[in-house]
Amino acid sequence: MLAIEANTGLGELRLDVELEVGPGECLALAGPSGAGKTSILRIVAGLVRPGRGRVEADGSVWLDTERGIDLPPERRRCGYVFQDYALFPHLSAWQNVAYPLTGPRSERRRAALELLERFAMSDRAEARPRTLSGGERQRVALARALALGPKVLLLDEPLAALDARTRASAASELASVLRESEAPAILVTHDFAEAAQLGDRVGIVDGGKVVQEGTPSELAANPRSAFVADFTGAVVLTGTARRGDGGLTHVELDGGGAVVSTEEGEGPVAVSVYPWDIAVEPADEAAHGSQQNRIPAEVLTVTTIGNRVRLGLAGPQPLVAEVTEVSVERLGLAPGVPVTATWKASATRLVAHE
Amino acid sequence: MSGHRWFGVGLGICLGAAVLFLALPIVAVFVDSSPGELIASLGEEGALDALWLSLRCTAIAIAIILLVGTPAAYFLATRSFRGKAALVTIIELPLVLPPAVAGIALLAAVGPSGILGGAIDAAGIRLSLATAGVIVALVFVSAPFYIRQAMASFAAVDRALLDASRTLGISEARSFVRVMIPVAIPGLVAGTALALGRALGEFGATLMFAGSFQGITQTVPLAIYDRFATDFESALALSAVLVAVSAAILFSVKLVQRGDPLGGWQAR
Repeated sequence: MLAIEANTGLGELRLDVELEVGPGECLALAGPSGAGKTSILRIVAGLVRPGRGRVEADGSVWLDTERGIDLPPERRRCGYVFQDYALFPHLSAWQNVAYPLTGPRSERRRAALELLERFAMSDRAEARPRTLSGGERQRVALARALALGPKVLLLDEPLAALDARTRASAASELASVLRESEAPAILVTHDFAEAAQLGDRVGIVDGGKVVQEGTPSELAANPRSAFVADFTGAVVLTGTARRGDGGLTHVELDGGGAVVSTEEGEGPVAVSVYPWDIAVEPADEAAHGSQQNRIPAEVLTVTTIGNRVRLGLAGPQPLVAEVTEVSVERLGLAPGVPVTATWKASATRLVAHE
Repeated sequence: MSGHRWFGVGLGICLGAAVLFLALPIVAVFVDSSPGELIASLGEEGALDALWLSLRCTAIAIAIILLVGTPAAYFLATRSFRGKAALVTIIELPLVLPPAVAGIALLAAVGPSGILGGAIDAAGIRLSLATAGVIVALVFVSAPFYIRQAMASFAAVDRALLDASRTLGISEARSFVRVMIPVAIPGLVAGTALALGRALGEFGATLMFAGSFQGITQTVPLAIYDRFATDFESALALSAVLVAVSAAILFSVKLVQRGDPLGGWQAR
């Protein structure tokens, strides 16, 4: 169990967080850069001392500013994977992993090789970090962080330094490490999809605060602010809400058009809808079916992502829809084609917009 | 000929002039007398005394500089505090001080009638006109060369390495030895070489502070000065030795920095 409380000024930023992570659980902190995510990790590791704060891990207090307790980093046993991995350049891969270990060299080497073996890296044991690929460096850093049997795992953007191709395999490898690990883990990322993939829970961090916390699907389904909605990948539109017919809320969109939502709202609101909930129809087609929200738009971009196609749409406000390749061909979707974007009132989230 | 060609020729001429001017005196040291005569005049007692004294004093001075200067440079490179810039300037000041001023300053500070002279005398230590005084002068003039370079090298080490070492259970003191020094080593070697070269050639401050007594305070540069009017041959021989040692120092620094005997990780 890891419990963190911190309230401190960090340059321009006011960090104010309270977090708990259970044993074996991974909390993914996602948010834009400068939101204070890394500072949270550094406070846990003891590399930054907050003005006021408390860190308790594995039943012992690491930091309590009120009682004047502040263990130095070397006595906290955190497995910390740094953003650029921070491998020691003058040591080989196995020496990096063996670095925290004590005892005779042969034993340390054996233990390091065992850890490297687990990451399928034993054949690169003698290599210097400089000659390792990004993916290999990440694995050495992970092995090194695990070498001491850490009480807490801290991962700072562990996949950011990797190219797109290595990232997918590194992510699934990391996911299995996190599954096996019994230590509470905090992972920091700027990418919601990555947080959703690796975190049991996700906390969205903005401006030094955890603005919303929950399972990835909870966050995506029920964002409490426009920021969270936008960050989780939703399309966010702004408008003015008023009570409409049939218990629905009617939203007059800024720039033209109107939508309805099953959620309640009044005054200025942010409307959010996920790209996969938006369907497109030919522009001249008459309204039918249960999709109550219909916005005329023009196709701006057509981007294939895996087996999906992401459509950038120019309407009164920009929209993004995700459709299948088959639909693109059937409807002849290409830049410049006029369409109608449609979605259900029940897929339309409303949050007050400041 | 095009303008481009003219520019190239101009550059070449300037380079030629620079090389000729800088290399000629050094070559002359070796050419002006026969090798046999050089070795013969080195055999003279005073010359050997001076060489031995120079090597001893320089070695001790460098040892002191490394032992005290390395942690001091690390401190300056890794901590920020009020007045740090002023402190660094004070440390660097001897770099630009004229050697004669350095000698006078040392006399005023730790000379027999200097501000600390009484205390040093009471402790039973003799500095002026003594070998210990030579070492003090060498440390004073050459330490800034090392500290400056070492500070830059420590500052260039990625701070995440120190953080990583500490989260791995290694205290800052041990991280300093196990990570910071090994990673900064090319810069530390370069700084040592600079200080070594400066200490070996030290003349003015030593002469003024420690005097020029054969076997006690007369280092090689002082011995050269002492005999260039009376025994040019012998002065030339000692100069040749200094040139050879200096060239060796410079060469080994280039080797460490370019030739990469440490595996090349520092080239990143």
